[in-house]
Amino acid sequence: MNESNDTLGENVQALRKRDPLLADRLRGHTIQPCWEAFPARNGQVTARKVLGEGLVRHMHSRHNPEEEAVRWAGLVPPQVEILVVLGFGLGYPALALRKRRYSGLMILVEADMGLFQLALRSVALEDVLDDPHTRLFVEEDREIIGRCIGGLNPGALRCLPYPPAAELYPDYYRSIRDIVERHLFEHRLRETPALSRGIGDLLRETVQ
Amino acid sequence: MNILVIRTHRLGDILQLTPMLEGLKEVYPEGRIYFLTGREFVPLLEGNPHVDALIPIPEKEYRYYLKHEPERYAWIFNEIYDLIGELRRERFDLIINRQYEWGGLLASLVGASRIVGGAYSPERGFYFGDQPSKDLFDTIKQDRTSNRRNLVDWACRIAGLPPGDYGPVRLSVGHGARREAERLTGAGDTRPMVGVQMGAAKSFRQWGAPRFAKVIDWLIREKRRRVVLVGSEDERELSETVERVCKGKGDDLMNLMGRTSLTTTGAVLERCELLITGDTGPMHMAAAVGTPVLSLFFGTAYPYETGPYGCGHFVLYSDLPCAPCLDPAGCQSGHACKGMVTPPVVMRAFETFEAFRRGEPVVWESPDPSVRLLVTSRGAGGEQVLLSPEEVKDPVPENDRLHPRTDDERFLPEVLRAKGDEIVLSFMEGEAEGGFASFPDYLNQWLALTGALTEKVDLEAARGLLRGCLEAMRCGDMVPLMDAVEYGFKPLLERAACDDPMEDCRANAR
Repeated sequence: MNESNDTLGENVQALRKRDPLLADRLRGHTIQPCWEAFPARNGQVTARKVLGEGLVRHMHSRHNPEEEAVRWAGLVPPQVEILVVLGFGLGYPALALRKRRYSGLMILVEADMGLFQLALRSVALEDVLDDPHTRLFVEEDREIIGRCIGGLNPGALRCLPYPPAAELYPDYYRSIRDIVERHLFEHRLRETPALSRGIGDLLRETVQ
Repeated sequence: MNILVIRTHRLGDILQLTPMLEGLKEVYPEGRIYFLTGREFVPLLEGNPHVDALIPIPEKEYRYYLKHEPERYAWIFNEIYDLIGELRRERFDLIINRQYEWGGLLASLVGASRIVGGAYSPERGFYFGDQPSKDLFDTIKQDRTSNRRNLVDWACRIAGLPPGDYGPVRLSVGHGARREAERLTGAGDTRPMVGVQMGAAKSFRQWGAPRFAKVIDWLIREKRRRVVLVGSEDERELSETVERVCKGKGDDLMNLMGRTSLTTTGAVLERCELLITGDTGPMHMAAAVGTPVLSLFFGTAYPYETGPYGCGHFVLYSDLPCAPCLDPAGCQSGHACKGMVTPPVVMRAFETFEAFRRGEPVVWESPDPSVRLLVTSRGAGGEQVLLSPEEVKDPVPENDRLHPRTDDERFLPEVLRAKGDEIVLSFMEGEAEGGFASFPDYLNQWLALTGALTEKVDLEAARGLLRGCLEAMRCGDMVPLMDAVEYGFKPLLERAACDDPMEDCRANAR
């Protein structure tokens, strides 16, 4: 298990360089006791959330979190230039995207500041936090995220949830995804009107 | 040759296309056949050797969301947009649309050198570009009784296949489903079992639970048969009448309505001597697993069009002048067609079926001459015909030509591994519901396989692994299930030949 104060310090330092406001916001937060970090079989840190009544939700593999995240990152279509990742988890998904040489812009969204803090304590994330092609939103207002997404080229935009993290806060992530999908939808209506009309007819027929 | 077949719903309609798929493979052995279907119907085609790629589409969910959560419109639009992009990249030579207007619209958006079965253009709207589709449409619209061709054979013609015998309707049920069917119906009980499907999509096509109850009671009491009720959860209330009438029949009456998956239903039907049903999806399913059918056709149902496909099935048909009905809601005769098929008529048909199966020549005498008993057979050109029992000269060949039951290979480790990968992919793609829904079936198949693989199974370790999975399913926690597939079940399969295949299993359970 590679949890250490060094990891936290280096991560916060990297974060401060790119996003000092977010680094400042960390100060006021503590990790809720429902979050538990523990070593996976391969020695990396993994985490779970205790929901009460005997229910738990794991964020990453208990065997090999990195390998699992790399497999998930394989779902990203090659032509995508801007990727909105819903659910940061302990950061393995974002690291895996870079490991798979995804070179586009990453918008990383995490709904839970506690989980993010746990990530900073547990996993060396400088490659992501210090990356100029990464934007990170943690427990952020939807309108602020919406403004950021609204300014991006929609044709190059795709949304990809990291399900174990995204399923914990379905309403929050769904509203972010709504923003992305609507932005892409409006772009497609403008750019490919004939095809879009055809799909509109198809969807009308679907409910007949 | 890339071919796309479109049919998204109704299990009977999907199974009715399987001979066409076989024919396409025969005519284009190098061709790749893609089948676009509703996600919940994928198990019907998973083991089909004539489908190269299945394209599941959550059409049912789309319909729900478009009606009840219109704010999801943009999501669905984008998913369809992406799907069309992927399909266009396949550059189809032929699209066979069996989904009418919806399929025609999709086919026109995907594009192909040739679209049959109904196409669409903004100028013409929905239209039939091929002669067989026009002929079928005209026949159905003008005079259904002039049609003597089963929809299975129509589909082959629409696909451009020369008339012929392209094999039976087909469903691979798999080893896991067979094991589950054995468990549900009693593996050691060898007494003959008759399946009964009481429900039908439309109420005017339901024969009625009280009538079925009389026949079921008679089958158990007089004919010493076990009876198994199959059907969906929605139809469960029909079984209450039967259970009341057949009270005290113990395990001679098994009610599996709403308790089986598609493939397990297939496996249950496979264990039956006969299925008694209306014109339903399970009727086609029984035919597809090689079980003969006694089907009751009245109202709008027309056996020449949608009767069970294959040889040796029986159809009771109310052949009134107004049949097949065009307006059941406006019927002036109080649905006489349904009333004519009385329980004694069905009992007599059952006894005729028994004699037929024994290879005896049979004569059909109905109390009402309008109720005809028809036997399915092959005509000279290979297409299906319906004969009266007297016309069947020698029943033995007809019996022999019933779709032979064959063990498929879906219990093989590679197939189970692929199923495990699919489940992991479902979770990773955010389709958690699908992943959780598939997992019990996967566990079942895994248990069947490990039972077959080795006698050295460490039961304690296996129990630990299974307990972990059940707990994760209870919590709705997908990660341990993905772990179980990757680091528990999969290594076990890969090391199936080793001395101690349960090592990884034990490690995972700890």
